[in-house]
Amino acid sequence: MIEQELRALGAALEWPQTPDLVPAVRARMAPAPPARRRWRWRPHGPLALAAAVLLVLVVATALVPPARSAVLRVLGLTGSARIVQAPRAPDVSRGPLDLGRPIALAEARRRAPFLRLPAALGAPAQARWSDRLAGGAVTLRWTDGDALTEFQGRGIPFLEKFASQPTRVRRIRVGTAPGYFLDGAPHEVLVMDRNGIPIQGTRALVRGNVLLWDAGPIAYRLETRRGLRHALAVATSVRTS
Amino acid sequence: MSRPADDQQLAERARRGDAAAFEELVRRHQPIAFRTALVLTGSPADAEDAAQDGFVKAWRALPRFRSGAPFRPWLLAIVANEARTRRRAAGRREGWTARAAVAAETEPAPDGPLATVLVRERAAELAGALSALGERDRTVLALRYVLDLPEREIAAVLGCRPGTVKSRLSRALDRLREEVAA
Repeated sequence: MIEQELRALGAALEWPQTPDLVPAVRARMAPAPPARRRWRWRPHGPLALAAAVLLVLVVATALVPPARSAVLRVLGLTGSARIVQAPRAPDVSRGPLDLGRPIALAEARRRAPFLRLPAALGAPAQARWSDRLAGGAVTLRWTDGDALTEFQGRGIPFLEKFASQPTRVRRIRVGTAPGYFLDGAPHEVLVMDRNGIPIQGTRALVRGNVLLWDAGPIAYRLETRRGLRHALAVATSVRTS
Repeated sequence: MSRPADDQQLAERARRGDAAAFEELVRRHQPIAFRTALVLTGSPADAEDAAQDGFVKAWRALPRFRSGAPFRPWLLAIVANEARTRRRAAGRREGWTARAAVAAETEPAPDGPLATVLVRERAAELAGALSALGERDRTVLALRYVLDLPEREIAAVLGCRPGTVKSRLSRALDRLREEVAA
């Protein structure tokens, strides 16, 4: 029956994640001020980078209404992420960051020849691949909740992290590489495309603690339920040579 | 624990100005609203805009919503209208059939590699046949067999009578069978 085959094919479709429309709709439900249309602009040409940076600032401030009048304070910057101060607590109803689809470790190595395993953690339970993150990122997961994302840095952060007051942001070093450790409370994150423009519907909640660091051209993001000592032990056991 | 309110109760409360009730309706129906808009526009960004604007228009139109009527077909009609106005004629759109082609490559089969190859071949054939159909046919097939909408809701989305949905579906299936056989 062709109808059944259509249903089976439909069930196998990979849909983009449904964006959470509630905050945007809520903001526009109030009778005043009148609803403003969201604007989207895809710049091309030499001004694109400058425009993208400006747009990130505009969008980031628009996403946190109480901060509309003030540009967000940048707390930290790595090859992969920009950490900004969020003036309010994160929306804990948000889903987790989409780290892509599961793939075999061998396939992950083929797609990301730069992939390195942290000796401190042993064999990962799962590997994931995302085209969306930084144009191609591998995430390795372990059963205790640790997850290490690796990708080639490209000079423009692809994650915007919103750290509210209870989230502690510490500048640390992994060996000689600079990095940041976020802990103390969940934070929100937004994925940006290769032009640094936020991708709609990607705002997510990170419940764990996160260590971000760069090692040469490779950028790393470790999410863990444990503290800085453990995160650093894992990070320093990644053989980057 | 009390039973969660049904759509009609929430819509009635929202009609009287209860914003929290309407937010619950948004939360409940945003996946189907987004996917319906995606089938119609072919673009996730346009689909998100269409779904968002559709919900906002629904909120404003609630005073005209007939008390006791089913909420979802009414909402989907508004979202579909938003989606159609966003569809731009120019530019390449990645429709749901492109996703179907990807799904065909990855569709798993329970009985080993050979069965998997056969299932994938058949699914790829189907995806190819779909892409050869006209857009009207593809849309009605997607609404029925991919989104699993009942005929009444397809009629709301397409702005036609349920009887018309039946005949459009039947013709689209005939053409799909011809394409597969070709």
